[in-house]
Formats: sequence, structure tokens, C-alpha cells
Amino acid sequence: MSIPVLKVRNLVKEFGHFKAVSGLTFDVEDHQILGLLGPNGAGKTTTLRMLSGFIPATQGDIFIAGHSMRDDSLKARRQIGYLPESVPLYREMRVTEFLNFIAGLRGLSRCELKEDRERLLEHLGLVRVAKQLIGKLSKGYRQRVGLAQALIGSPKLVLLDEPTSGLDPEQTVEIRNLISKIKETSCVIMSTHILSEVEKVADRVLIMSEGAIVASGSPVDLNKRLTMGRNFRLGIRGDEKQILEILNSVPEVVSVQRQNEHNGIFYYHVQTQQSEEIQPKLAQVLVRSGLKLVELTEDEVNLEEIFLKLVRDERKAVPV
Amino acid sequence: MKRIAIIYSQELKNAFHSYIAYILLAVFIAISSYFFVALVAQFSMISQQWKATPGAPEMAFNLTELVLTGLFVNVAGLALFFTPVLTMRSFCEEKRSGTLELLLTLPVRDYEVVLGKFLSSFTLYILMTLPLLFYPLLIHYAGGYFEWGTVFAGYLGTLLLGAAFISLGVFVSSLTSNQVISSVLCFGALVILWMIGGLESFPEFYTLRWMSNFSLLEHFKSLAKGIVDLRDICFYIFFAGFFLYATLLSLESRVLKR
Repeated sequence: MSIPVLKVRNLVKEFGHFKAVSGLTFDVEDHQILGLLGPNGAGKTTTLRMLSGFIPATQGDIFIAGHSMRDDSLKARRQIGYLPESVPLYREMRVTEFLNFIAGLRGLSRCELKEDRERLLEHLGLVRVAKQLIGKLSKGYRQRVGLAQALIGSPKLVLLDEPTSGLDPEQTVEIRNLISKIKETSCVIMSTHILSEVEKVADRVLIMSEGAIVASGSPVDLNKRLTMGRNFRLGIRGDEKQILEILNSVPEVVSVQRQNEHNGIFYYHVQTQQSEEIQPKLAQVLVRSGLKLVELTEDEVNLEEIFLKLVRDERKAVPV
Repeated sequence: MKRIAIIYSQELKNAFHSYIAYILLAVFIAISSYFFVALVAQFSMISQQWKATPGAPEMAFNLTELVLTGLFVNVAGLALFFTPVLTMRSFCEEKRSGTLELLLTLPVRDYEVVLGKFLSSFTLYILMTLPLLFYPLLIHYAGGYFEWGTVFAGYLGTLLLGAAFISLGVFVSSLTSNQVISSVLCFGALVILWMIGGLESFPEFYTLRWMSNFSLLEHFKSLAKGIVDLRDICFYIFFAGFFLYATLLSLESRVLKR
């Protein structure tokens, strides 16, 4: 098992009486993309700001490549590349000049700087605009420059706060692909409230609500662990009464809902208990009774449903 | 040290990229040159009148006193207006654009950021006031006589005063993300600290006389006359140090903000 690049232990952040983050504990290993998911105000940005060293934690500690953010912030920050949500850049600088500035402050030698800068310009498709003023670039290019500054010096941990926010669909896909490539050299934490993004990019997901972690695991694991049962769409030709009788006779079936009827085919939404064998069992029972099974597909419960469920449960649990 | 140098040079480059440096330098030098020419013309007129007066005693004032001391005080007054503009960008712009978050999460210490920004503004100030050394040279080559000790003492005073002005400006800019608010607040604070020495002349404010010790003008007056008093030098160094430290505290106060 590899050693975690990031260790977060009982992280708490309070602003006066308001607890923005409460008791976060998690690890991130090398070459892993962790998606930090949560609604607005869940504490994602505050968490990233603490991880980046911009604001100190009220309690707990962060260890980056073994360096404590509390006791040795400078060494810990040397291992971090950070892109805040607003993609702040010095608009009056040229792209190369900006990257030189950041690399210089990260302590890269002139030789390392040149090599790393050229590699990133090439890798992020910035060669064409390398000499241009940042303020004159399109939003998509500015986002790439933001990523380039976060990656220069090959930091062990890359923190990205809502990296695709405000981009058009084409730019979003480009940035998403670039993020996938980053994990070849570093580990990445990206916060987002866009669920599809996490599903596509992240190896692990950490769902936050009201400053606390409400679930964590891979998107697939979360699906398995948190869905209470399985959902199927069935298309059956035959007598409606008989269909309902047969479906309800299966012990694992929890509910049957008729959706529509088209050309003599009745479509149903069937919810069952969690069981590996339920899909062939349903097919077998229906076919043996002489009904014509036209469709039997499982509805994938997506991360969005899990997320909404968790957030709703969390809110219910907290007395108002 | 290397990181201070990187921030310093980048700040200077940015000031020149945005043309603010050129505009400030040009206008400041133009106005200070006008002061110089006006004071020389005034001196020339007075000395001619003096000489034309039959039986007048030897002149009780000289070129150094009338032109230079006057010039140093006038330029100091001019700096009162220019320093808020010079320093308003320091942290305001970083705060407004969000780059402060980027800068402070790099492996840089807060004091390195503060010093880098202070030194770059101070360099611009030096460039603005450098002609103060050139004007006496001009007179010197034209055959006039200057007491060079007074010139250097006056220039030292101008630099110390500038350091004090800039440290206050940098501090004020760390409090807000609005450049207009920053420059107005800085100007207001400087004017108060400039005029506070006047309290001594009002018997009604007798109990507040001690405050005149903090007057930026009172400590400058003797330096402008060529009198180098260690107390004045210490005052400006302490003043600048105090506000740079306050800037550091202001940056650290981000822990309290959401």
C-alpha cells in the first residue's frame, strides 16, 4: 500500500461561532484524484483554503508529504499547487513571465524552470499564446494558465477549486481531460458541485454537507453501498393483471409502478431488494408464465441521487 | 532574500507595464522641477533687489537655505499627494483580483511579500525624488554655491519621509480591496500626521501637545535645513517599521475572514 501524500486529521475551522468545517479526517494517495463534492456552503472552499495554507485550521492538522501545515507551513506549501475558484492571475503579465514568477517563488532553478515551463506550455496547449498578455486571453486559455501555474515545479498535491466553473462544454471537456492527465505525476483534489464531473474524473469521492464528510469512496462503491435496492425498467406484452400478479409474487420485489403502454407492451418501473440474482430471476419468472419479455434494463442509480439523499438525510438529522 | 527580490522586481515591472509608474514619475518630476525653477527665480529676484538697495548689509540668507530647504519642504508636501497613488495598488489590486490567495499559498513568508511590495514602491519614490540631487548639480555647474552637507541631509530626510509615507500607504492598502478608498484613507491619515505638529501653536490644545511628537513635518524640518538629528532618523525608521509590522498583522488577519 502506498504512503498517503496528504493526511488530514480532525480538521476544524471556525469563524467566530460559525463552524465552517468540522472534524475532517481523510488521506489521499499518490496518483489519485479525489473529488470533493457538496452543495454551495458545504465547506469545500474553506477546506481547500486550509489545505493550501491560505487560512490556518482552528483545530487538527494537515500533513503534506510528511510536512505539517501547522508546524512547517513553508515546506508543506512547497508540495502544493493550488488553483482557487476565481482563477486569479496577474492580467498584466505575459504567460511565460507569470510562470517564471510562480516558479521563482517555488524555488526552481533557472534550468528546472525552463524545462518545466516548456513542458507545461506544450502539455497544456499554451505554446501559441506563451508571449501574450494574460488579460487578453480567453477564459479557456486563462483556465489553462491557472492550471499551468498550479503544476509548475511538479507539486505532489494539486488542489483545484471548481476548475471547470464558468467554462463552455467544449472547454469543460478539455480541462477535464487535462485533470485526468495530472494524476500521472501528482495527486489531485478537486472540489465541485457538478456531479457528472466527479463521476467522470475522480477515483474517490468525498461528499460534504454542512462542513462534515457524509460519505466517501469510489463512485462505484458509493453506488453499491448507498443504494437501498435495485431499479429495473420492464417492457412486457401480455395481460396486465397477470403481469402484476407475477411481479408481486417475487419476494424480492418491493414495488411495481406502471409507467406507460405502447403497442400492447406495458412498461413498469420495478424496485427490488439488493440481490445479485434478481435480474435473471425476474426474467425467468416472467418467461415461464408465458409472458413476452420485451425489455429488462437496470436503471443506474447515479451519484446525484446518492448525493441528494445524503444531503437530505444530513439535514433531517440536524434539528433546526 | 531571493523571494523578496522576485516579488520586488515583479511589482516594479507591473508598475511600468500599467503605465502608472511613468505617469507618476513624469508628473512628480515636472512639478518638482517647477518648484525648483520658481525658487531659483525668487532667490535671484530677492538677491538682485538686495544688491540694488544702497547701504544694505550682507545678505542674511543663501542659496542653500532659500532654494534647497524650500524645495525639500515643497517636494515633501507633493509626496503627500503622490504616495497614496503610488501605494494604493500594493495589496488592493491583489485582493480585488484574488491573486493574494495565490501569492500567499506559494512557499513565501508573509513578511517577504510585504517587504517586496514596500521596496518596489520605495524604489519608485527614489526615482521620483532623484532629481533633487540633480538640481543642486545644475546650479553648481552654473557657478552657484551649495552646502552639499545640507543637500544630502535634506535628501536623506526626503527618503526617510518617503519610507514612512509608503509604509503607511502599504498598510492602508492591505485593509481594503478598493483602490480609491485606500488612496483617500492614506491621504487623510498622512495629512493628519503632517499637520499634527500645528497643535503646539494652539493654547486650547495644550494637553494634546505630546501628539506633535508624531508629526511627520516637524521631524522633517530640521533635516531639510541640514541638521541631522538621530532622533528624527529613529522616528522615521520606527514609524516605517511600525506600519510594515501592522501590514503583516493585517495580512494574518485573513484567518478571521471567511
